[in-house]
Amino acid sequence: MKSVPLQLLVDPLSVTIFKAQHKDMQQSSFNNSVVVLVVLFLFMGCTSDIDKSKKITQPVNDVVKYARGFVISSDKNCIITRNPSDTSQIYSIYSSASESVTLQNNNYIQIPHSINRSVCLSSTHIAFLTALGLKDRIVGVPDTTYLFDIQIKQAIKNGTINMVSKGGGIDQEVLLETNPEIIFADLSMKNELRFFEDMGIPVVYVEEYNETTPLGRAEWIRLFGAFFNVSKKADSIFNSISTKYNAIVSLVALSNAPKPTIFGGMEYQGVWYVSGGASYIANLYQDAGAEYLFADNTFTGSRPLDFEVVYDKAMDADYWRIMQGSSKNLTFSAIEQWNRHYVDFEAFKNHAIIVCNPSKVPYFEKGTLEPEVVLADFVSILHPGLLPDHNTVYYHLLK
Amino acid sequence: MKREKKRTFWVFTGLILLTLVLFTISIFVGSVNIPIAGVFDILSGQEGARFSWENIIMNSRLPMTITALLAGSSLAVSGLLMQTMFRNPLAGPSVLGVSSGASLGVAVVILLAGGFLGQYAFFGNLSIIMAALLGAGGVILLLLFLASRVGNNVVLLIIGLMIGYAVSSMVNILQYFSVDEDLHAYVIWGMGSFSQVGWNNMRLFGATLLVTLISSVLLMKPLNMMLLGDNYARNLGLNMKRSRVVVISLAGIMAAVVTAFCGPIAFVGIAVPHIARNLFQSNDHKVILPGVILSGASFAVLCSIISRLPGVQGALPVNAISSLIGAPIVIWVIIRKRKRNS
Repeated sequence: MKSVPLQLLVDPLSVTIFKAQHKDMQQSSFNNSVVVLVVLFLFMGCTSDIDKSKKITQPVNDVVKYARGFVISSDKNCIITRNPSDTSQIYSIYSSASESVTLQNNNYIQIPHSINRSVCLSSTHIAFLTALGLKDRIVGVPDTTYLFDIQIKQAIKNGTINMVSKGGGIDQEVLLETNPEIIFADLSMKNELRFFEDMGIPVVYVEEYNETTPLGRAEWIRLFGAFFNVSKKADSIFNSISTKYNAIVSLVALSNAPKPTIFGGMEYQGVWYVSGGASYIANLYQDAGAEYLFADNTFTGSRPLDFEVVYDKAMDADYWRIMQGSSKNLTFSAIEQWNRHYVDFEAFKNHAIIVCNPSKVPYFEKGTLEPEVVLADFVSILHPGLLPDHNTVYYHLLK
Repeated sequence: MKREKKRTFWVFTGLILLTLVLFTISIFVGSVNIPIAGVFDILSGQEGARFSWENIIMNSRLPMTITALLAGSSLAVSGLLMQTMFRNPLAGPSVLGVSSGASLGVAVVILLAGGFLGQYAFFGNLSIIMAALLGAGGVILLLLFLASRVGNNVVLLIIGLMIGYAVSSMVNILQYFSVDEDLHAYVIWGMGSFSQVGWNNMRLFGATLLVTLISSVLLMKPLNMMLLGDNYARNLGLNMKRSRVVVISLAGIMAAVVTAFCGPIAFVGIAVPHIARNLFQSNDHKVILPGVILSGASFAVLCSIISRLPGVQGALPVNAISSLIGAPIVIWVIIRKRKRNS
């Protein structure tokens, strides 16, 4: 790499002057720099902000049964969010009672008694609040490109609700304009929301998508109920959901129907992301009376497997589940075009493919609050005759 | 000589005015449309202004503009230091792998540490920042170690490039095993933003960068000596080994701090020194170092304004804008120089 000679403007006079005076100047310049560097490091040390979180004992008598990511005290005054995979790890404690700071902790966050202006950064949150009849308390929503809710879209046009993020990042100014009292978000936005936390706006990280059971995800409506003081309504909604869900589970278990084998997903560039044996979808399969071919592990998420591994193991599976968002309806020829080996699967040959198109149905919006419908979809497909009156809503058999 | 002095004076005056104008625009213009009268009211501290607007001006736009000024000048000075030390016009903080090191640190926190919020419990609010500083710091230390062993600047530059590539591929592997939310968070971080510093972190951010900027200004004369070439500089009594350590440290710290707090901001380090050299028609650091500080500040604030123009609801990423503006400018500068030379 030849370095390009730069235009030199140091004339000979300056060079001689340099030579004469250089020793003193150069020495002092470097000494100054070294001193400055040392001061800098000391300063950084003084202002470093390392929090040491204290171990907190959790309140007794929590009402939450299926969800692991949050806890509500029995007097409904205190809400605690925690890591669903490790429930001893507490994220934050929210309470409106100002005197109840017996839990002296850096993670304690005060919330208003009644909340009128909330920003929801996920469409699932919008669904929760809609079910609770609290749509009027929403002043900020995320990118509405994939939103199904017509009222919200109209409100954005009218200017009563702001769209605070578009295509990914959060627009600080637009969010500040809504003057929110609370922000509901998910963990992917933690870095961007630090700014608002520092300003004193309570931020709640709703992690319902990390729950591994369908009822666990739906139960997060109780969290919203507690924040907005409508716990009774939230409880009754959830109880109705869980009753219906468990009824279907019992129906399937008691029917002693044979369990079809099932697998799901598709490959991308030779890699097939396969859900783990303890994941949400694995539990759903189990409740629906199916045998999941990749259940021989305890992964709660999905992990990448080589195409050949899945091809080999799932070749003879009875059913294939595909979730694909697209503006057009999925067809068999489209699937064949993605990968010509797909036609070798038994499920493909027998036209036993169960699809969900989240661009056409509000699966991520309402679907979280209707696990009994999702379950019924699977049961009516996997065990025809068990639920004869059910018309599939989210998942359909591909025709 | 007199003509050059006159030119220098006018260019400085122009740059100072430009910086002030851009600063003002950045306060008055943003994705939320606030009428000019309203902004004046808020700035003059008048009561009764709309609370959300006051919040936006005082707590969002003002700290963000100051962040842009500091970040722009620091990155530009960092680039200038590296271009002088390596006598290579393509040197810059990203070339030496400092930005990649910071990216690796952040990737480890966001992508690897499964419980993203779990780290929060240990490091408080600054987990991303700490991780970026540690990552960049690691690369800087590695470079310093090699700088003391390797005498040849060209070799050091190549090694820096290779470190950058290696670190980037480690980030790729982390991304491969990540879930959607984590990838999303990392991509958003990678787009760069001046809005994340806020008043809360301004003390640390501002103090660190001011100290390093002032230190760089104190180095104007040794930098001029470095331009003459290693042998010349040594004959003049400059301790090459020590000077490389100081220059790499300063340039590295500035790049690391900006990348840690603002994410990677491309092109400022490479493009702005060329702009300054062209404006001032000089290589004398006594002139172009302050020039680069002003140009870098203006450049960054300009990018910030463009990314927040009203109507573009949901700001465009700063990182992309700086490249889109910076690349044509550098090409134009080089072509103009060749025309003048030929």
